[in-house]
Amino acid sequence: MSMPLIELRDVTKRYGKDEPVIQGVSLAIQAGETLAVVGPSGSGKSTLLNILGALDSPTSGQVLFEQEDLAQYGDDWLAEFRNRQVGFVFQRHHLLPQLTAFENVLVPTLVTRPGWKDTATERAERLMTRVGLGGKMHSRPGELSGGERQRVAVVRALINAPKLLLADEPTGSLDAVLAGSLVDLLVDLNREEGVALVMVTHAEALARRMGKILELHAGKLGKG
Amino acid sequence: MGKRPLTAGRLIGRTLVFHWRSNLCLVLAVAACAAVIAGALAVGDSMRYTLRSLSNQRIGQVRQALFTGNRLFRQELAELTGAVPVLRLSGIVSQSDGARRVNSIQVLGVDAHFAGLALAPGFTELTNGTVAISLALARRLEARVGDELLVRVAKAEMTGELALNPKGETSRAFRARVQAIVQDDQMGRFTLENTQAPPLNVYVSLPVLQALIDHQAQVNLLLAGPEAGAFPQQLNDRLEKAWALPDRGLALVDLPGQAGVELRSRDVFLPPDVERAALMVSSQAVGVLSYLVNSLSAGGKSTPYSFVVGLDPLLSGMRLEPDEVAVTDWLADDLAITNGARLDLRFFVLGPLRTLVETGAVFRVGGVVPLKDYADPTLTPELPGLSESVNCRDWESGLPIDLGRVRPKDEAYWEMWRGAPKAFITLEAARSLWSNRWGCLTAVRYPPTAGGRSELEGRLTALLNATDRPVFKPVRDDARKAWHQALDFGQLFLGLSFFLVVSTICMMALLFRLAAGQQTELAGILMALGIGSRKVQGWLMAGTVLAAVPGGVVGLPAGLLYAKGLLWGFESLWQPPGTLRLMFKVSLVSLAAAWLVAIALALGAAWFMLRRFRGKPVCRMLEGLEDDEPGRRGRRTSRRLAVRADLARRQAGRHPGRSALISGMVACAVFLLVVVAVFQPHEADPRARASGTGGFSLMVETAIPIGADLSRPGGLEAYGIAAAELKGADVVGLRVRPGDDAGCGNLGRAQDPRLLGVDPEAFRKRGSFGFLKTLPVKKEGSPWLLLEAGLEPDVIPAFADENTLMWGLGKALGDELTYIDERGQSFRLRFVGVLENSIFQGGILISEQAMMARYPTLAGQSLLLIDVPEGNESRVADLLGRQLCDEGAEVSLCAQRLAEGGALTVMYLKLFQTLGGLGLLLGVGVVALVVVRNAWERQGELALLRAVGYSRRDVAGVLVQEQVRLIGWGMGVGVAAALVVALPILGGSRFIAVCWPGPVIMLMTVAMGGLLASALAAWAVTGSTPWNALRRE
Ligand SMILES: Nc1ncnc2c1ncn2[C@@H]1O[C@H](COP(=O)(O)OP(=O)(O)O)[C@@H](O)[C@H]1O
Ligand SMILES: [Mg+2]
Repeated sequence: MSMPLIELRDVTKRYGKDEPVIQGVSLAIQAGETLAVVGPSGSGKSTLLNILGALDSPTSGQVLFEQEDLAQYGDDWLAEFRNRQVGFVFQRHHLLPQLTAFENVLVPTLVTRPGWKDTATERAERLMTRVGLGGKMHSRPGELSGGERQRVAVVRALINAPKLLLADEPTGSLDAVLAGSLVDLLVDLNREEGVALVMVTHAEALARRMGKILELHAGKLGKG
Repeated sequence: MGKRPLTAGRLIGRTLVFHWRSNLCLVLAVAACAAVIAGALAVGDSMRYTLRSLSNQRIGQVRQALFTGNRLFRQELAELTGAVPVLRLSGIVSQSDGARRVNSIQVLGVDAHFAGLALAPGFTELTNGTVAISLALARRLEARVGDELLVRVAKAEMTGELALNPKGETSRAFRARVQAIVQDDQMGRFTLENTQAPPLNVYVSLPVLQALIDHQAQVNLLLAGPEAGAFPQQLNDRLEKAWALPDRGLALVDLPGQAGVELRSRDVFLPPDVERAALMVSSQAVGVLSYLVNSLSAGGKSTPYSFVVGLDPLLSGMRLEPDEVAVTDWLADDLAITNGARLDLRFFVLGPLRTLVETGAVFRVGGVVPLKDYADPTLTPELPGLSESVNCRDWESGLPIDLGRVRPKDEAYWEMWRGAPKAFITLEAARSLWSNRWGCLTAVRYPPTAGGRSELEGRLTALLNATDRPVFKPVRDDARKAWHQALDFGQLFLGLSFFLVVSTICMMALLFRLAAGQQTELAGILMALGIGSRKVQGWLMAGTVLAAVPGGVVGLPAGLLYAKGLLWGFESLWQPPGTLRLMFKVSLVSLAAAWLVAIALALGAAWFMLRRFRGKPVCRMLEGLEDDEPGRRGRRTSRRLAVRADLARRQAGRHPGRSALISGMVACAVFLLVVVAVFQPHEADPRARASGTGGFSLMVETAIPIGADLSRPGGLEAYGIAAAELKGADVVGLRVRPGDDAGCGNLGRAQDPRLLGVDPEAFRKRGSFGFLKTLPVKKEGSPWLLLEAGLEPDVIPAFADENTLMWGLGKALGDELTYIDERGQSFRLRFVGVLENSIFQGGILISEQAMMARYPTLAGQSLLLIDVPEGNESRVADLLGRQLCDEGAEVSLCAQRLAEGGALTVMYLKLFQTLGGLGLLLGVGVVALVVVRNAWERQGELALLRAVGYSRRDVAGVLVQEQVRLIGWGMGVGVAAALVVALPILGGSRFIAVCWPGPVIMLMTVAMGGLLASALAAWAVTGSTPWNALRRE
């Protein structure tokens, strides 16, 4: 087996003195791989995803990205890590209402490496057209439908060409048809961009479209 | 255009515009804050500028000044020191038709050099028969160029209250036409007193004024301009070299027949310090004391009005016992006496304030000497009104001389021998009988062997100058200090506006608090997308700066308007009305400071908000951190169970910080209003002796001091007042050393406050005036005795009232103040007692004795306090006004004076109250803002309430209920706190709440206004259709 893109080793997360939210989770994700995380509400799926994306840190255990332990790095490095290597799609789209769709997509480019900005701007245009939003680039999130907003969020997540795309119930607020087409899009982009995809979902049908399914149950991992 | 890359600037800009409502509120809050600060500072700037311009106009180009009051000196000193000579007298002026009259003016005898001291040219040359008057005087007199005025001036006499001086000779009058009106910058505001009130000046040609008061070529004021005054040390050195005997009213004269030299005084008696020096100059110096004796009688015969001389045996060559008298043969013949006979002397003892007491002494005739050998008229001093008259019938002495007793024989004696003495006693005997306040020698004689005249003069001058030499005062520096050390009105108004500033800060804090959730979420998104937390915080702060900067800019003009309003209020509340004109001025520094502080406060509030999410995991920030707040977690599940009251309570509990801010703000404002209301000065019964009037009903101030004791029938008679007219009245006179007003009425800091010399016994006996605190008083002793307590040398005990001490002088009990006395010696006043606010506001009280010791030539009393039996006030006031007309008496009611003094305190309180009220209003505005914001935030919840059947009124009620609670709490806490502070005081007698209705109405209005605003806001917000809001959730 080749070297994993990101790897969790015996990760535990607890809040205060409560029972741990996730406990002793270990997993490895290869580059370009797709993975579904399923489990009942409150089982720690989002927590797991947040830890993978360095939005939160584990109470114990290690997170290794390309063999490097994230724990050794400070906030600035982690921010840069999120900016370059990770893309997020949240259940609530978390688009900025004050910006147009196109501008929202470009938010991660505010701090990119020199020279990338122009490339990213072209890339944004291309991706927007690719996801079928060529005509809605100047619309505000408030003027978009739920599906369109999530597609904008997907483009924003991919704008800096990350290696890892994390989607936390991206279809949660969409109806079945829209949800299906969003997952189609994610899978297609996974292939086109070669980005590893980890998606949390309740829907079994959607989960089955991923290459692997992990089931979380009360913070513990089981095979789906 | 859509292809443009995104920049941080665009993001910040878009964010600002998107949240324009709350950003607008922020702009307004910053603007309000900047306005309040800029306004207060601009008031300070304007005050300072006004004071500075007025003081510049007041002293013109003058740097140093020497003023000697009643001690006139040679005008030559002006040339010798390079200064400008002025004769400055006090006076009274009226239109010659008597239509208008102004008491207490300053008459300035000036020459051509005076104009050179003005800031602007144009001061007219004055001729005989013309005067110039200051602008302020012209207004008061309604005088125009060409009008004829009657001017009365006080004669500068060192011994104005010595009974030897002819009565009615304390002032002289003249008529003159107004030749010009002197503008403010042409020395039209000239006065040595640090005051803002424009002085009432009459300018007269110097020689004319000198001639009027019989003091040719003499002045009492030297003004050194920029050249002469540049080096004060040099100036004073030159003065010391030039200051000679004539400048003290002394003269060394050669005696006829080369009998030696004699030292005489223009004022009859040689002052004690002069005597001491004169005797020290030479061991051969001998004193002479001549005295006018009313009668010399023996064996039923009597000789009227004769001089008797106390002589040193060295001089007389007679050996006399202390109880022996040598008589001339003329007297021996007249009285038919010989050796061993008893000679009865009757004479007046001279006391202060022209008091005369006739007493007598008996001597045994120890010898008879031939008149022709001893007829030395030079032995007798030159008595005013006496010595120069050819005939006894022309005597015009201040003494009550009964010319009917003068026999033809006496006339003949006077014609032949003038004032040659008729009898001689020993110097010791003479001293013990006739010493008085002014001295105990009329001359000191030096035999030819003691040295030549000029040699003696040099030695004597050097000796005298060591202890008595007036010095130039740095009037320009003092004037500068007066406005420099003045109460900083910028700070004062900042203090008064404190609550307003706090309100604006609360408002900003609240705005940030309200925006916190949304800001946190924004920060969370940006950070999740990989933007560093520092950068994100920087962008958020930049957003605040962008809102705050224009806010500050908008606030500045508003602040200037606010300052104008404050100044206008200040001017119009000022007492007496219409006497204060303030110039508007604001410095860039103040504007910049206000702007920066307002922005800094906004940034501080923003920074404080950012503190909330610093160090929090990004995933939590994405949720807006709201879950932190207690109560939120259960909200979703219990929503359906919500009942109105419960909802409101939980609402308040959910935002403890927000609620505390609002309640706290209301509490502060209420506290302030209540406390200010309670601390209104207490209007005690002004007739009470313990009150600030001392129980006196009338106050008489005279321009020309009264050299008689008006508490005695004799003194009253001298001014044509029958003692019966003042039956039952109590008169207490005070000596006044003019100086700066140190009361609230002086916006600058008094540099040389006015001194009032009082007889402590008079007040002690009456139990007049109340003390706030004093240094320890001996058991059963009156605090008034402290004024006579002996302290260290050169320290004089003093009292001042509370306002004067604290605000006017910035001093406290036990503090000291340094003065320079008439002889150029410095001494210190120590405040040993603080009077309750009184009619003495602006002055410092010392004992009359100390005053006379330090200012011996200050003659007479110019402040009279009179307690007349009730109902007689206006009659007595009329009488005194009439009889003391030539003294320029201004009669006022003590109660009114006291009220005027207190009026300024009331003014400050009013201003404070008004600003506090404004702050409360702002606070209530914030409350309304919070209502709107809460409602908006909880739209879904409210919509749900409506959906399940609550009416719009019910729902609006939920929103308002919380504000009612918050305002209620605030008011309760504020009132309670105020009462805790005020109750002990309310119990005491010093203050009572006299102004309850005002603040209570204000509180109620503001509270009702706030509730109304909240209700309207709630009503408006709940108006939108419930379904929209529900759907958005
Ligand atoms: N900040 C937090 N503090 C305390 N408990 C939390 C916090 N965040 C999540 N949890 C708890 O952790 C558990 C897992 O949450 P989450 O990962 O969001 O579950 P899922 O996404 O699978 O629904 C839940 O029981 C939740 O209450
Ligand atoms: Mg979740």
